[in-house]
Amino acid sequence: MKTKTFLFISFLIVAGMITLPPSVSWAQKPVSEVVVGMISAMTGPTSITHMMCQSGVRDYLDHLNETKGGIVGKTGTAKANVLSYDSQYVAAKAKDGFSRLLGQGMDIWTQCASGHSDALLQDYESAKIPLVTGSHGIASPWSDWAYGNYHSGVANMIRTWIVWLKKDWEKAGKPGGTLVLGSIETDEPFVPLSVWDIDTFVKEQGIKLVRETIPKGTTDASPQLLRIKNGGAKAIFVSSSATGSVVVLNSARAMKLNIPLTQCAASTLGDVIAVGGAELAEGYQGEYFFEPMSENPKIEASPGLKLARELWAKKHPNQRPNDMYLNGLLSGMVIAEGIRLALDTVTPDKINGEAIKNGLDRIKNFDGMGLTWPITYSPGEHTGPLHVRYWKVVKDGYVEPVSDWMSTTTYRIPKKR
Amino acid sequence: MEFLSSIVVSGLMNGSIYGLVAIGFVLIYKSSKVLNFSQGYMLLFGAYIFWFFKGYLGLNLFFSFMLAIPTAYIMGVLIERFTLRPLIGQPLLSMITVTIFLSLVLEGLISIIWGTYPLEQITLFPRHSLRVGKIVLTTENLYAFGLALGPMLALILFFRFTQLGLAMRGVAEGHQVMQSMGISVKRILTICWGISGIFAALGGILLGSTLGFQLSLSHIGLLAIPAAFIGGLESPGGAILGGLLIGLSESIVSGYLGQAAGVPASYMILIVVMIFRPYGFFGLEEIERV
Amino acid sequence: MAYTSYYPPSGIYSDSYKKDMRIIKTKTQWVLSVVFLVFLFAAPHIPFLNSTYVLRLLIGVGITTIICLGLNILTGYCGQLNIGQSAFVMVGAFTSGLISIHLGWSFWVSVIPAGLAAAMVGIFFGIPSVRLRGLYLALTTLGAQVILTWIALFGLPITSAGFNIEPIEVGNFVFNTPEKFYYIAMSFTVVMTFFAKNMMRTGLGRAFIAIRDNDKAAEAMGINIFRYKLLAFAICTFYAGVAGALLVHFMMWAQLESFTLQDSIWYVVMIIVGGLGSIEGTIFGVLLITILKELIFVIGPIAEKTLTFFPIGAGSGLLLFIIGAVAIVFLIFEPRGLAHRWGIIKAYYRLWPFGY
Repeated sequence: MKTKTFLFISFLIVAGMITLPPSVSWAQKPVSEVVVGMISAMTGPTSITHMMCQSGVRDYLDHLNETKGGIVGKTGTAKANVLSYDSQYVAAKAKDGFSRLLGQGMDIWTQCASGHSDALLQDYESAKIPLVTGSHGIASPWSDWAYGNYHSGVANMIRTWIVWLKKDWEKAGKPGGTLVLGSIETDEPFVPLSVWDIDTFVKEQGIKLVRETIPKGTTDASPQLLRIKNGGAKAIFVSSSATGSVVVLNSARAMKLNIPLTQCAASTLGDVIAVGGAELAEGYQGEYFFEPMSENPKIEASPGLKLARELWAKKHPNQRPNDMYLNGLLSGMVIAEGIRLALDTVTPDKINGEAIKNGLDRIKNFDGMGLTWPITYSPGEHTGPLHVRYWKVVKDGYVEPVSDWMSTTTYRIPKKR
Repeated sequence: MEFLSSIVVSGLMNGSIYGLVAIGFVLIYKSSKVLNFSQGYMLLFGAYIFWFFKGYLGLNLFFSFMLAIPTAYIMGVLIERFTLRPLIGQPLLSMITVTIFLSLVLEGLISIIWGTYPLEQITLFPRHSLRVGKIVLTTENLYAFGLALGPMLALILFFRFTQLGLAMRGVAEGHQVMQSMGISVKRILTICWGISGIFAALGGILLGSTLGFQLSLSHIGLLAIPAAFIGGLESPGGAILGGLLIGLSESIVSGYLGQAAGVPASYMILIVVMIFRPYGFFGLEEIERV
Repeated sequence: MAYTSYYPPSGIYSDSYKKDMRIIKTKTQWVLSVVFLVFLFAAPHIPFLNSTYVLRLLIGVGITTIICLGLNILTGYCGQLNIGQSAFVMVGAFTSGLISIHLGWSFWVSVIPAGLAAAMVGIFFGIPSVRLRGLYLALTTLGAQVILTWIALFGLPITSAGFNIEPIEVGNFVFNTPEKFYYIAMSFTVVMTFFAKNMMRTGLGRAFIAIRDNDKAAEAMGINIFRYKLLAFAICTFYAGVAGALLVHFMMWAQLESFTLQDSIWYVVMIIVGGLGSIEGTIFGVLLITILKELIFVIGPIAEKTLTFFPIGAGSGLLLFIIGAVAIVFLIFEPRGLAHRWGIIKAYYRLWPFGY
């Protein structure tokens, strides 16, 4: 019995030591292959969103590999090889993953919905590996090597919403004298960033913002909503992930709140419908930086969306589609476009991070087959579409736009704080 | 006044769910002295099993309940049999560590069967609300409260008035003593874990219907730990009271101080209470022999 | 916990108290220690081990070892369960980080204040130990985790957002890559391990063990248990603080999300798997759990890629399941941890062919 356990344990340790190093030292990649790295949380509480994005990137690049043999450019075709690493949303593991993927020959990396883009800033800058990100932390607007395809910076979500509502209010003749808005937040780590220095902005705009916070894990937000209502707010912005939003919606319905609620981009309307149900989400507004996956029969799907639905049906037939899949798909498209442009000047076997960066810098008016507002990158401006559109949930869980594409605010959280 | 009443209702709702989870902790601690870190995941598993019957197979509410409860019982029994039974007699911390690993196993199992994406929403209760004076109550609140308190009260009565309950209380006092009285300690342990599984499932079903059936439900497992402690780890009645107390204090502090200060504040209250009553309100004091 | 290997092989004897307390008793042990240290510090030059990724892992193991050493002193030797350790690491990390960016002092100056700050917070949260014991005390450490996290989230905006930290410098030499940082990390680890081993073989260590085994009896023998419990908390959190300072200077990034309750729980798991009350055990435990977790991070995505017909998330879930199951099986066979098994192996070797 004792020798058995001894052997078992030593086997475990030896197995561990054997699997890790050799799989690292294998860095000779076949010619004409571009390695795309993905670092995100595949296990753990935030894994839902990350997994969807990851699938989007992988499915799109696989699709290109299958239908065209890879990414086709002027000098040749480069096949995309997607490798990923599970960081469980821990910055230290993300850094470890980065160096591992680097050892495996990574040329470009992508992630979404995590603060890793900030934590790894120095790593990818010094390694000269560009990042295509489906989310923004706060550092990526400052980094030359990060390219966004999503919102304009986490602090701009509520600011853009305020600007939008203020314009509508002014157009309606400024009823009530002062515009009063409400903001309900959770205690998730991204929230302090999203409302960074919001008091200055509110003062500049000349409006009043009533702010409340709900703790994570609560099942009822009525006290906070009540206070916002008593403050006279005409509309409320919800800075929370899907779980918190469902709680807010439940409480709002129970107390018959009748004040329009808008979801911040930390979760999409699709996610909220998935978690809370179509009936609960009816009337809920949200912001989208790309076209939502909703199968609304009244809206013509763009070619990009049609492709997304095809790919989803093919690869994940037993599941409902999800909006963040589109985010991943869009990232995949941006990556492919950057590589395609890089192949104008560099042959496929010489593709590396710098070459792809040069390609990305030349992207002009790229709209991802209709998925988003045309993106143009230029030196110093890699934020993404810089435009947002607000949608609303209507009956049966479909979403419909309530506004046109509008430009976002461009506030940047100062680097030295 | 309206504000205070909505805070109180909110706090009691949360509190009743904490109480449900806390009872699960207490049952297991009472019988085997183990703090079960995987309680949150047992809750999750129970919720997902209920969803399987109602959301996937489409059975009606009553049948889904009737099927989910025994399945949850079996889950508790299986867990006890395969993970805790081999470790009887080993240091306590090893058993607690096994429960930590168990949460990994359960999370993995759930991900394999149902994936990590939230499941389709199910509404358990029709959505009406009543006004009682200035207080707004939804039928959902009332049903959830009733569904939480009912079994809890039943459990207390069970402990006090039935033979089996008596045996379980005895096992909590000391395994050796009970064995010498002819009670099969193993059987009692198994039953305790089974019942704990049932309570976990109940909590999961309630939470799932409000928060949605998704992986983050398991977090309540850790949030409910102070509730179990404040009432005393040996007392199911204490667990209920502790749950309600913690729920209320969280709600009041968050409501009046804002900034989601409720959770840390309830821990601070807990620490202060514990200094004055080290074994919780109704816990059993450990008498030590030197 | 005395294994038969606690007693040196036959032929080695002690004729003074000092000799009896030696850590290294035989010439073989001397040679092995020196070889091991040489090997450890030469690792960046060994081809098998010198990829950045592996060095990062080793540095991670080193820093985690320091954290778990502190934890083992408190929980393993003194018997006070602490499930808030990563909050104390966070205190040290942010103290050191904030000193660096606001006062501009170098790492070498800020590492001791970081440790002391963590120690003071640790003593504060150790005060309930005068009345609480066992799992109830563990609750207050859980409270420490929650409360400190909340302070970091709402008290200072930059702690939740994350901020950059300058790498460590000695003169003109900047330690900003894993290859260079490795030496600092390993030196700290070796020094802290040595301190821990030393502390635990003195009267202090014996007092801790006495408190763990039966604190009423210890008090009756004249040990001031409250004072020693607070001291244990202070030492544990001092180690955590120093490790925190190292960690943020390694990552050059300090953010709240790096210090969660999950981490605290993993630290406790590491010392249990390694063996409570044993310094070598800590190192084994950290090594084994790090490897297990790394398997999840590396192989999970591969499983995910190949198992697309399962629901999304199933691949990583499968891996979690396997790792969890393996760990449970391991604990069932070895509930007293790796150190115990190591002791038995040593005894087997020494007593061969008479081992049982």
